[in-house]
Amino acid sequence: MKKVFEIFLGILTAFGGFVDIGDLVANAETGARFGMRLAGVVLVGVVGIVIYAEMSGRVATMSKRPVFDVIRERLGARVALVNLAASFFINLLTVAAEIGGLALVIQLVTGINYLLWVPLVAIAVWIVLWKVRFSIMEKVFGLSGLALVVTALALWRLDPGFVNTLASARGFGPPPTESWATYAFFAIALLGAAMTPYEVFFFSSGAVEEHWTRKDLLVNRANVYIGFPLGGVLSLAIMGCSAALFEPRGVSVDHLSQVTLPVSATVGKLGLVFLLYGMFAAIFSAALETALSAGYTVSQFFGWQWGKFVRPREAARFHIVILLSLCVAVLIALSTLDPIAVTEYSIVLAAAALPLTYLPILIVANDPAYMKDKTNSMFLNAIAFIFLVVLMIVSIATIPLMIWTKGGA
Amino acid sequence: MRLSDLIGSVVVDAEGDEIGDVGDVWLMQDGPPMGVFGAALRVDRLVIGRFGLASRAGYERPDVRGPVILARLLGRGTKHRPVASWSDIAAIEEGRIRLRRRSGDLERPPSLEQPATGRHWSAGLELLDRQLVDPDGMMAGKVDDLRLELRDEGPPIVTEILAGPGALARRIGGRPGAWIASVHARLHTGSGDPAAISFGVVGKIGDHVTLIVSRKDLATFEAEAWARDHVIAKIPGSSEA
Repeated sequence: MKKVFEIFLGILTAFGGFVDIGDLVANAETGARFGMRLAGVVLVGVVGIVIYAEMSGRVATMSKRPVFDVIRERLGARVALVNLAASFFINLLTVAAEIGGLALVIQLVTGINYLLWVPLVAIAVWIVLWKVRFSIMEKVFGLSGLALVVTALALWRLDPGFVNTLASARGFGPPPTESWATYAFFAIALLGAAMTPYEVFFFSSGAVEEHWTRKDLLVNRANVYIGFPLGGVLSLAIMGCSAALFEPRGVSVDHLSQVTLPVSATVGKLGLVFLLYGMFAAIFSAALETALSAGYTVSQFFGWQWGKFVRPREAARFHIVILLSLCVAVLIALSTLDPIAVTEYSIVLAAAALPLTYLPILIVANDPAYMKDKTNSMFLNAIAFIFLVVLMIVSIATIPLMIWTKGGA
Repeated sequence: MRLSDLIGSVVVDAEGDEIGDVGDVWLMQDGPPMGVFGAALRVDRLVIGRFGLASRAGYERPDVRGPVILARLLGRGTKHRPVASWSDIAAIEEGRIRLRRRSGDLERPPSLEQPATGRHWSAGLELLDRQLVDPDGMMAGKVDDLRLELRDEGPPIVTEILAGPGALARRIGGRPGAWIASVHARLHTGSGDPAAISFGVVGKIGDHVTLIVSRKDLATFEAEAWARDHVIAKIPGSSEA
């Protein structure tokens, strides 16, 4: 009975914690510009993160080796350092984007400029990381994120008509107002938002933090196979709302307040309260995850003690990396760079960096020296391999597309 | 000598032809006794071929099979690579190893095979870059390099694990490596030698390397202790779980 409850709670936590600032921005923006024409990419991204997160969780459970240990062991010190530099930089942008996003949510509520909130939010994030136990931290914010379900209600109230929605989702290619290049660019942004590398860094390290053993592999599978797709449905609901409300009117989404419009227009004030609460919780949870990931990646590359399962003084360098990363993220957020633009760049660059992280996971998930009898099935390998090829193509295409489309403008 | 002095060196055969790089070093556990680890590891074979992604994927091992296309692609170049014994070496120069034999005469075993007695290890695949863990389960650095001791007779043995930036710098190489080395040298008043851990305190080699002494008693702990005493311990609540 306890196990059933644990699995159920885990699914809900994964569900509520799936969406972050990247998903909010990318889905709302593409919905407004492309309708549901890019919905398929979200589905692909969700399948991708599901299979690779499950693998990384399984590797960490069976061998106690989280993702960046595996990256170093399989890519070697030199290539792993290149990956560390890229992943750390992108992750830092993501921390800045999440903190900026949190500050924007508070601005929506209070009307006071977000720049004032940035340092306060960062301090709050740090205090939680310093004081709160891992499992509590993850559950409280993950479960609160479930309030985002209100977007699904808004979509239903907007009633775009399922036939129309499906028809536009099935069509391939950009609408007449957009070019193929921007279409491809936003496809990459959606893929990057769904599959950001920090998710596997965090998920696999979390398996070690929570002392998962072979018995918890079922929890791992349930979290990922059920919780993540449900989170993906929320992403699609955000896109759907935006597609129903903004696309026909030719309105583009370039501020977070517009993401809340479909909900406040259809569900009313109470709905808006729910949405803002859900957004705050989901983004806060992502801010915690990305800040931790900064510490995880660096510590795991160098072999330092890491984790919240020991006291801070026993993982001193890990906590210093987190602290410094938060400071730099605050500076980026305070630079008055548009937080939405920072988010876009972070997810697009994330898509470009993915193969270097996913390849070692895939190799090790097949190695009995780490996995004993829990190696990948042939079916999983086939899908995972196809994904890897797609990601490599994406990674080559990203930077040229970014320059060509001037960042999707 | 360090393991990284061997791995990556160019191998030249008796006729003066370059036949490749040292891609990996196979170690055999049958040296003189060394602490709790038992018999020391000695250098047994130099594997010739690049030590790149393909060799690190480890697809030459027969029990690692999937995904099929990846295994084909990466496994192809790593099976039946030529190997040289220590006695085949005529001279070791800077970045260059001269053999007494012609490349055609070298053995080409399918992959690392376990002998009837003792145990064979692939230094590149099973030791390098692995996590060090102490008896309390605390992390104590990575196997950044290995110290090899040359002996008058017979091949060199592994005497120490080298860990920390001082050892990592040489592995990284180039400008970033030089940068890491100079930062390390500045932070340490000593000679800039890397932190060393005697191989005699190695308990077990698995997906991580278990040590039998606490990380607090290792040279690699210096920086962690500094960070703890000067920064983290000064913040309230640092001792609470």
